[in-house]
This record gives sequence, structure tokens and C-alpha cells, in this order.
Amino acid sequence: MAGITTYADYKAGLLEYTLSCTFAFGNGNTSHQANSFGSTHVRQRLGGAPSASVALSSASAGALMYLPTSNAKTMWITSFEYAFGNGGAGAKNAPSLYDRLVHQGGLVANSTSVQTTNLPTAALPRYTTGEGVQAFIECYSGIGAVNTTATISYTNQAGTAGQTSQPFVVSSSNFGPDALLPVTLAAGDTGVRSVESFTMLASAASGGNLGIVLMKKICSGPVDNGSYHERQGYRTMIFAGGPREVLPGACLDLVVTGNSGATGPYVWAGRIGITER
Amino acid sequence: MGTITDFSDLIAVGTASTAQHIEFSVDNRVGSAAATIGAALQTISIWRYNKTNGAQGVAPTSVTAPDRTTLGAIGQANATPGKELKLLSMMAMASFAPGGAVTLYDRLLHIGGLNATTITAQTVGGSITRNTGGENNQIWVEINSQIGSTARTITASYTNQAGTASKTTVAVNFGGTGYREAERMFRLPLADGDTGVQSVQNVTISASTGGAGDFGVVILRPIAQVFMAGPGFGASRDFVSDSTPVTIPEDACLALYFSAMASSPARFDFSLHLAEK
Repeated sequence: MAGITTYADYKAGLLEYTLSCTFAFGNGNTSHQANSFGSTHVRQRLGGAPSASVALSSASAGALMYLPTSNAKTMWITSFEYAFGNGGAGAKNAPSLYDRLVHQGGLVANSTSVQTTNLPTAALPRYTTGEGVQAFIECYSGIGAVNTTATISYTNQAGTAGQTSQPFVVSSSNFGPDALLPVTLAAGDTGVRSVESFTMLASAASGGNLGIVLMKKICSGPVDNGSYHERQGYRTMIFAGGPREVLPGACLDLVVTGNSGATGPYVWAGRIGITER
Repeated sequence: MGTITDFSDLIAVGTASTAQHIEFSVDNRVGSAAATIGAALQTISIWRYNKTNGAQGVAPTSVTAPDRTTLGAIGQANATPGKELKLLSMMAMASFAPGGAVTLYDRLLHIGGLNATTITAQTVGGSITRNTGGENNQIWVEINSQIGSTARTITASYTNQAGTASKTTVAVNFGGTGYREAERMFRLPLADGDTGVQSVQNVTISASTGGAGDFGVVILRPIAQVFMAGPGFGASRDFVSDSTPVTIPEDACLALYFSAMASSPARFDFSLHLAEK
């Protein structure tokens, strides 16, 4: 992995090669939910709800930006800017940038059986050991009334199959379309290589459409006060722990961490800057 | 060794293959159960909270000096021999948590299994293996399972940073609402003039709280704080431009506590960005 060794090198990288992605979303979906664990939301999906498990790349529908699928050099995220505006719901939400690795759908909330539909998940296309890879439950269509917990069975970063996650709360009051629930792992596990099954402790009134998503976080842009129109986050990654490597073909995806109780349309925009050395 | 000399140096260490970007989410659950809701102006131990990187600890029994490999530690890698590990940046982002401060600390020694009905001195003992001079070390009480409802006080007998034994902390509340629930932590103020702790001989409660529960003692050294204004908010601490990179001791048992502004579950994303020099 090539590093950027000096400030001159860094500047040269910016001048010689920069990929820039500006993004803007908003107002299309009033059913976004907040207030779940993680209160996380995918951006407005462009690719539709998946069914069979597929490995994702920058060419996949819904990827935030195109990245070359092979590169002799190393790509680095050097800047991440973000602004959020919301006209009515009062949400003040902070974004995180992930590499979306694998997803699938077709799971339901109205069953207490061990569900294996469209599982196991496809092999990871990047971060293939699973170290640092996080599992999420994603909601593609709303579930019926329920307030319970669920678990997944997964293979950990060491290749040990049959691991059971910690129980995580699934509640219809805060888990609606486009919401994501982070899955907490068994003690000592530091990542997920694949997911084999999903199990609800209690059944919801209706099933909805849920899926498993495996992602690797790249960086976050926390918002630090109450304004709707913050220009926050890592304007330059140098002062946020260093430029962050992004792998060739990464399927970049933005996830919002929401404030409590806020639902409604989002209006947000920003920019990601990538260079290579 | 240990000094980041200029901007080029910062970029080099931040993009080196030895840079570490540790990202995880914290759920307000301990194992299969919901954690006790945090109380306003109280501190919550995150040691046993479920996490997406599996870094949930267990209540200690006998006295031990934990390190980075202890279950519950964040689990960073040590710097290569001859170099030091530097904290460049850390971030906390509340998903469903009240405002408050997340503190990163080195957990130097811990013990559990103490009884909140025992009115005689209960032995702590043990030896710390990092920051052994004791300067800036603190003594905390940690509740592992709920103790009695009668408000009492607790003190510790300790050896200060100068090696003077049999010093006594200032008495603080212990037992009763807000001071009895699992995962509560309270700091025991040192005697006037003392600036650190080398060891704790024992702890003594003023009278029985009426319920044995399970509590313990932790010797820790705070490293850094980051403040979250409330749900949907967070902050990134930059130890390069607003202070100076903090050296993380070899084998440090990095862990978190959360000082809450209001009564609410504590769920948040957290990240550490480390480099070696």
C-alpha cells in the first residue's frame, strides 16, 4: 500500500489526479425513519431493493460515484464535506461514508423461524477476511407492529462459522424504509465475513422486506450543533487521522446517523475528494 | 522516536500501513438485556455494552491489570518496537444518546465481586503495569449488578503518586437511586494535594445499602474526551491542530465511559485514528 510521504507529495497528488463527487439528495421520500439503534439511514436508494445476495462495486446501481476497479496506485480520500438542510422534520443528521460490499433482501419480520432466504451472503469483494466489516439489517419496506430483538448467524473475521450476534432491537416504531440497524457481534469478534441466517425473537404483524448489508466504514462527518445548514465534517482528512484509503471498485455509500424521533424528507449535499499516489 | 515533526511527517504517518482506523458502534445493551438507562449528570461505564466490533467486556472478579488483549478493550495494535503510538483524532457521534462527553481512558486495574452490604473494608490490591508512578491515575467505583436502595457513602484507602500509603478518598454517594444501577461509575476524589494513585488497598462503605449487588473498583487514566451535543450530533477531536497527538501507552487497555447530560439510552458511533512514530 503506497503512502503519501510528504506534504509536497500530497499536494502533487491533488494536482495530478483528483476524483471529485458532489452529491445532493432530498425530498423524495418522506418515510425515512429515525431513532433506531444507530438511527442510520441509507441515502435514497437508486438501485432498488435487492433479492439475491450480490457483491457490489462502483459500477453497481446506487453507488455514490464511479471509481476504477483496478488501479496500480492507491486511492486516498482527502476531503469529505457535507451540508444538511431540512425544512420541516427537524433532523440534524451526521453522515458516514461506507464501502458497501454485499447486500441481499427477501427477509421478513413476521417469522420466528431461522431465515436463510437469499443467504448466505455473497463472498466479500473487498476486505475479504471480514476484519472491520460491519453487518447491518436494512429495511426495504415497512414491517408490522413489533418490538423485539433479532440475531444473525455469521462467519467471523477468522473464518469461524456459526457465530451468533448479540440480540439487537427491532422495533416497528423506529425501523422503517431505508433504516439500517447495526449488528453487535459476539464478544471478541472484530468483523464479519458472511452472514448465514437471520432470526426474529418475536413475530411482527407483517413482514415487510428486510435484508443484510455488509459494509466497511471509511469515515464520518459528525455535526456538532443544531443548525440545519451545517458545513461540517472532514473538510480535510489530514486533520481527521489522515487521508483514508479507498479500495479500487469501492461501492461508496452514505449513511446518515439521525437524531431522535425525526422522520421526513432529507435535503443534504456534499463532496468527496479522492486522489491517488 | 515519538515526535511528529512537521506537516509532511503527519501526512506520512497518517497514510502509512501502520495507521489504524478503529470504527465501531455502541448499543445500549449488555449481552441479551437492555442496559439500565443512563441518568442525568451520571457516568455510565461502556465496558460491558454491546459493540459492533465485539469489544464488550465482562465484569471482573479477581483483581487484574487488563491490557489491550483483554475482552472489552478497544484492541488497538501496539506500535512497532522503537516507535510510539499516537492518537491523531477521535470521533463520537450520537445516534440515540443524550448530550454528553465520551471519555477514552486506559483501564489500568479492575476488580469486581464486591458486596454492597459488607461494612468492613473490602480488599482491592493488585498492581498496575502502566503509568506505575500513578500521576493522573484515578479511582472509580463501577456497578456490575444493582446494589441496595439505601443511600450510603463509599471511600477507598490508597497509595498516592508519591508512594504514600493509607490515604483516604473523599466520601461519595453510594447506593440509592442514581447510585446503584448497573453500569454506573463514580469517581472517588483523592485527598487534598494528591494528584494520582499507585494502588488501592481497599474500599469501605459507610453502612449497608440493603442489597449486595456486585460492584468493583477501577484504576484508570483518562486520555481524551469528545463531546456529543445530543442525538444526531457528534464531534471529531483533532489532536494535531487543536492540541498535540497523545501517546498511547504500549498495551493500553483502551475503554470508554460516557457522562450523560440527560436520562436516555446511550447509543453512539465511535472511532479512533492512530499512527505510529
